[in-house]
This record gives sequence, structure tokens and C-alpha cells, in this order.
Amino acid sequence: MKKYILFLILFASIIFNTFAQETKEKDKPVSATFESGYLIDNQTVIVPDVKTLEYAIQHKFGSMDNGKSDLWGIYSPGANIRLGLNYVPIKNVQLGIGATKKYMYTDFNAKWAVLKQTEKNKIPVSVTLYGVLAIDGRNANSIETGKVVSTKGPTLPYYIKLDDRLSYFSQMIIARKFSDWLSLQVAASFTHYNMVGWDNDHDKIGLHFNGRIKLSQQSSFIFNYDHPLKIKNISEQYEWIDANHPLPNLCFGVEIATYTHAFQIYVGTADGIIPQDIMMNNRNDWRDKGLAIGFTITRLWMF
Amino acid sequence: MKILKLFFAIVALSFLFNGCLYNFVVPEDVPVINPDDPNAPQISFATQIVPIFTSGNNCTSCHNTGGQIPDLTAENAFSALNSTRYINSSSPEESKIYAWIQPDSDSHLQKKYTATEAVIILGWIQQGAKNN
Repeated sequence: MKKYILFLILFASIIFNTFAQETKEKDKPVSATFESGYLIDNQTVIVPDVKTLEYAIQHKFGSMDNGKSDLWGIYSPGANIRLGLNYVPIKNVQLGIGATKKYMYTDFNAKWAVLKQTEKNKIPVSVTLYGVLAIDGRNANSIETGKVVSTKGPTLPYYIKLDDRLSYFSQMIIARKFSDWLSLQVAASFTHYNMVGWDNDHDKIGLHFNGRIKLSQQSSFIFNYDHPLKIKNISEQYEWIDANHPLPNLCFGVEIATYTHAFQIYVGTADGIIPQDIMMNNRNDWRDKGLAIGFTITRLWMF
Repeated sequence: MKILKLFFAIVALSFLFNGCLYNFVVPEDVPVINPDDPNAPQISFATQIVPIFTSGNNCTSCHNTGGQIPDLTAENAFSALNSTRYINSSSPEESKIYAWIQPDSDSHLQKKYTATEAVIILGWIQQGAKNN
């Protein structure tokens, strides 16, 4: 009897193994859900191949508000730029650093592609986790009084420390490549700032929606929309004033991509570039002239 | 490899959830200067106004000698500003050195005064824009 059971188990495992190998060989991850790790000022589910170095230049001009007098923002002040370097040390895990002009942010980020959509739909969507830690590098003298308090009550203020300068952003991104010409992506995020202005919230939950519509082999229409939610339960505001809440960020543009390179030119709302800044500090309104021209360039090197 | 992945995940998580503070930046305590009070302390151009321009090259990074007018370096600031172009003594609020750069203006987007600095500049003009 024992021998019989052992034989059955062995037989089952052999069959299962061969079956598993077959599906593994045939059901590969889909290729190029998006063209690069960046989509305008958001992240995509894409993590490049292992040992790839990615260099990103993200630039946003000043507001288009003044029209042709400052060439739709190209001559106007208030421009912002970020230079970033990302490296993929192990499969599906990317680590990166970057520097942003606004608030002199230095950011460290990590991205992990947990699941990849497969061609036979065994896994229907790609799932990626993304996290950013940023340091506000401004001189303390230029941040109001340069002091912080831990509560709004009668507590003793102290000078801004490194801890106060930190902000965090974590995001779960879910994407699906519906066809060769359409990829859509949704995400939910949590943003935390250790130090905020008197009337602001420290925590912010946001929803993101972005996508790509391919127009030809190389060019596509891209868009993204980030919506910071107003949730009364996690808010620290006594009075519910609209001016104290960040506004949604809408961007749309054109992407021209080659195998190792993506160029995206767009019109968008937020003047921040790192995600927590967009979710927490955007006061530009896309319905009220709050748009600016920007571009993102990425370049990959495989080693 | 799995251990490495786990390690990276833990490091990433600790980055994300470590040291969350809920601090507020203390807003500036903006002084009140009453222009009609003859006993109000005089605002000194040399010790209160010039530092606004020069500390940390705040204004003087562009407005320096030979650069953008007005020249706001400590030696030249008064002679550069002492004209009706920048100072309107009959209605101080319209003085360009105040109105153009005050925090709520839509002009001079490069940099603006903080609320405190704006009050001090306005007070100085109200007190006669003296070179004291």
C-alpha cells in the first residue's frame, strides 16, 4: 500500500512538473507595456532588464499663464528640473537617486516589479511597488522662521532637523497592456511629509490614472491624472478651506521612443516633479490657466 | 538571491515607515509697524534694510554692481533706490521696491520678500526712506 502511495505521489509530481515547465516556457511576460520607467512625471510598471542604467532628465517650464509675452512659459521664471539616475542591480528591482531644483529635493527611490502581465493572461496585470524618500534641502532660513513645533498647541519650537526635512511617497501601480496600441495604468499612493505649513496635512492618499495610446511604431499619445483625495478622517484641519488642499494634476503629451530612449513632451499642471511634491504641494488649477510645458528624456545603457 | 531581495524589501520598507513625524513649520511672526505713531522705533536702512538684500546673496545675486538694476549691494543700495522710480513717498504702498516684490504680487517671480521683510521695507518708506 505504502509503495502504491509513494508511486502515485511521484507520478503526480512528475506530471505536474512537466506541465508547469510547459506553461512556463510558453507564457512569457508581455513586452513593453510602456516605453520607459517614466510617464511624464509618474512612474510606470516597467523595470528595465537587470544591470541597466537609466538616466532621466525631467524639466518643466514656467506657467503658460502670460501667453505669448513670455513664449508660453519658456522665458518665464518658476521652471523646475530633475536629474535622475536609476540602476537595476537585481532582476525586477530598481534603485535610483535624483536631484530636483524646487525645494532642492534630493530623492532616493526604489521600484519592485512584483508581477508581470503574461501573454496568455495567466497573470492579467502587471503590479509594481514604488517608494520615494526625499530630503528637502533648502536653507532653514528660507523656510518661514526655520523652526518647527510638534503640535499646534503651546509647545516649544526647535530648529529644523534632518528628520523634519524628510518626506515619503509609496505607491502601488497596476497596469495592463490591452493591445499593441493601448496600455492603461491605475495606482494608489500614500504621501507623508514630516514637516508641513501651518494649515496643511501631513498625510495624503492619492489615486492615479495614466495611459498610452500608440499612434505609430515610435510615437504615442500619453496622459496622466493624479488626484489627491480630501479625506476628513485623516485630515488635521479644523476648518475645511479649499485653498488648503492640493489640486489634481493633469498632464498630456506626445512620446517618441526608440529601443533605449524615450522623449516625452507634454503640457501639465503641477510645477513639482517628484511625486510627493505633486501630491502635496500642487496649487495650480488646470481649469484656470495653471498649465506649463515640460519634457522628460530617458536613456538606457545596458551593461 | 532571495535573501538579497528580502533584504532590499526590508530596507525599502524601513525607509518608508521609519521616523514619521507630524511637525508644523512655525509661521513668521509678522511685526506690526504703525506709520502714524511718532514714537515707533525707527527702521534703520543700514542694519535692517540692507541685510534683506545682501544676506545669502538674496537679491544681490542678480542686483549687483554692473548687473541688473537697481544695484542693491550695501555700498550702492541707497543711491540706487533713492529715486521716484522705486520710492513713492506720497503713497508708500505703491513704491516699486515694495509693491513689485511683496509676497502677494504676481510680479518679480524670481524671488519675493517674506511677509516680515515686506513689512519692514514698507515701514522704512513710510518713515521717510532715510539713509540711516
